[in-house]
Amino acid sequence: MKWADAITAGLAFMFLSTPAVAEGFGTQGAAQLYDTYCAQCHGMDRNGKGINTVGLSVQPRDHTDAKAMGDVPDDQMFLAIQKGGLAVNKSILMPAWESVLTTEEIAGLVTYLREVCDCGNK
Amino acid sequence: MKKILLSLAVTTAAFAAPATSAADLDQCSSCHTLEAPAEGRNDHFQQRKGPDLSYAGLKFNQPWLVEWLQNPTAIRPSGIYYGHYAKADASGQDKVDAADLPKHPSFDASEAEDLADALMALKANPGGIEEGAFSGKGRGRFGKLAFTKLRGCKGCHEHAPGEGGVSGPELYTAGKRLQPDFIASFTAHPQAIEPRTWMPTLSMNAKDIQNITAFVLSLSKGDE
Repeated sequence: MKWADAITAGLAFMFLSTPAVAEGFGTQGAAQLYDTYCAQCHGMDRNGKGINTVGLSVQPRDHTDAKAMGDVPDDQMFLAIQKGGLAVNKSILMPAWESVLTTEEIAGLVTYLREVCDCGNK
Repeated sequence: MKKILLSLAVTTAAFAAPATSAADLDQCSSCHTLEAPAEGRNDHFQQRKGPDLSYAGLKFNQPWLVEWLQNPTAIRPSGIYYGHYAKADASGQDKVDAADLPKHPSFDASEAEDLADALMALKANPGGIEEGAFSGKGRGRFGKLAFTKLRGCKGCHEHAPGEGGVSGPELYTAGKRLQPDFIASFTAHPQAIEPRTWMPTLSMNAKDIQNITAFVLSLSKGDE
């Protein structure tokens, strides 16, 4: 793991393990962010079938899939949102959202995704 | 000297705008932001009814505006915010029915000319739109590779009808619609121009920006 990734993972752990931050941001705020930025690919129903996915070479993750989501640690999820798919050896089609979303918002989205998949914290 | 000439040109353009321009644009303001760059709020992008036009004069090509205002077509295949129109089909796949999208008003040739003049006078650069951003030396062939495979642009934008994602504006008419410097600037720094817009700042080098801009420009010429 590169130093930059290690620092990011540490930051992710810090944010994600601070309940006040994630809870303070709230499910509603995270759901709105999801609708704005994520649902175009991951679907309004969070099922990976967003409007952009027809003909896409790599299908986005189904965030309601408890088993598949349960295998992804929180820090990897944080990194994927912040730095994009390539940062976690996934598709370039998942862009890096660090220029749009704050660290707190990304942490809130990770917490929200655990609610969507109903697969607990990792 | 160049700055003085540019400043003079902008001032002249503002004074040269038709006297009816302000009144003409009033009718646009219920759906478009005209006077100032949009605030960086994600809910703005869910709530707005049309694209921000406060920097229309730095973004659009006037001949395209005149033509489009007479025969407006959907530039965003899924509407200004896809969340308003996306519906899941029986398989759970989100789709947008073009018939659900609101229609932009159309104008006669004279009205379209006046509106285009007024819009081209709106030059409130939010920052990030740089004169000379497109060098004219990009290589479309490499731009196509970046657009369709290496940089993921195709995930959100159509480069031909029915080819590519549909949440972003279609780009097969972008060469006629948009100024080359705007395309290059927005591709490089979208968040500097429209904070919190859907398009993230991608990790691209200067050559990528030039090549992708050349490719996008080529789409309207039919020579990609």
